Amino acid sequence: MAGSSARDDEFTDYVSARSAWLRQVAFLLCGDWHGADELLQVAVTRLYLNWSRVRAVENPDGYARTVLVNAYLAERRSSWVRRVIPFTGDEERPAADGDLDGVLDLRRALADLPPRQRAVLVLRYYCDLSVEETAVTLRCSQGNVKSQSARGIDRLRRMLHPRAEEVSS
Amino acid sequence: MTLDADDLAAGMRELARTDAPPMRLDVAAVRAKARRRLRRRTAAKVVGGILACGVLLAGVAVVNGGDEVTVASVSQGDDPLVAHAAFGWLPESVLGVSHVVGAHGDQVMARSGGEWGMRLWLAMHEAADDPPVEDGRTALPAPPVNGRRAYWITKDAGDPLNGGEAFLRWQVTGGRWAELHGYYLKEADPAAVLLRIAAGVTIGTRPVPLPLRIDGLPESLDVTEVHFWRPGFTDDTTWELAMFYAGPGGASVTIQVSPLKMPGNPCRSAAGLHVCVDAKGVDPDDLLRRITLLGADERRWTTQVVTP
Repeated sequence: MAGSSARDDEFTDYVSARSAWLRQVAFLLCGDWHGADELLQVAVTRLYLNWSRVRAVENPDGYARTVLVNAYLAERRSSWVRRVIPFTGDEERPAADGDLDGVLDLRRALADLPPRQRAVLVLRYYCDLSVEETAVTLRCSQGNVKSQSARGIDRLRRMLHPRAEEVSS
Repeated sequence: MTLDADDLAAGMRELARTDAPPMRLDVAAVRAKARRRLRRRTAAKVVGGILACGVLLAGVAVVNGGDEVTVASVSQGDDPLVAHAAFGWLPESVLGVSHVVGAHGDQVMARSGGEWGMRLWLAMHEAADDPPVEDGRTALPAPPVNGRRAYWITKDAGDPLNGGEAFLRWQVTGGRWAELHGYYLKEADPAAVLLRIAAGVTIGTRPVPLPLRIDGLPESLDVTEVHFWRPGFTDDTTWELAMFYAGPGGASVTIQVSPLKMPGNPCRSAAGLHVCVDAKGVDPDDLLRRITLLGADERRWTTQVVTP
């Protein structure tokens, strides 16, 4: 029991310390805070189930992030997504000191991306992973990460700056 | 203003700082739920294994039953890259046609030069009486393509070209539906150009010529992905080919070919091209010796890429 208790304490400490960060990643992936909480719950449960493995890895944050992304992609493939209420733009407000319109536009644009493209962009540009690290996380080739990034950014550009292409042509 | 990596990273950081409701995560409840699952997992290990197989099979069935059929794919034959549909006529501004195929999606794209150059994606959908139409979209009749029914798929029933991101779907052999997705269209009459491109698309499986030959690739290796970017991923003036192979025991091989020198080891240069091999579980130097580069003139490229 002592071992189990120590394990639980260690797990609780880790989740307490990292849940805010994981929740932000989950939010960027799924686009709303309620969905992020559901995703976080799934991911943290999986972390507990595999805690001995988490303890053994050099980079537990990387492991947790991978679990979260896999949970997100699995959820998108399942019927769960049909229960998610589409983003309407008025659920939460951006932090007051930021660019309100820009942030809301980005949120809408991200919501319109296919899940895998979105995951690639979040890992590359929010989590600051390299192409190689992103490929390892998503278990795909580096070329695939590059092509998904390019297509994702292309699409965001068209959604965020529909007139920019005319200007630059 | 364009969106670059720094803009996107900054935007995401700001988005993640959005005012959030209180977190609903209950760590104690998570632990209790996980413990129950661990107990069930132990008790039902054998049954769980059988169920897992069932889930896996169901997953495959879902994938195979999907709406989209592939437009290009990998092949374990002589040529690792085969196309099931191909562009014919293309506007002069188009620099080349790229193929990206493998486990993570199959894509065929033609593009013009520059960051905002025209993009044309080719796709195929399963046979059906009517074209596939996503929720919230409308199929507007378009002039027939090669005498077959064709439709513009759009979010706005008053705008067939969908605000400049146009989707044209037309029926082809066997009742399937081909799709041309175009954007950054600079042509004077984009609808007419898209219809002409569609009319030139040919349906049928054919190998894509590649700029190398590999004599005696280990038989245990299977190709998993091929990325043939023409023009290059970030450079309009060049191209790059990457072939990914996997084998038993975690063996993996990546072969990259380009007119440009690439980082990597071992690499070799010949006929104006450069090739690099990255391998695990296979001797990369031996594999490199088996590769013949065919030069930059694509008339010399081959569909007999892998020979015994």
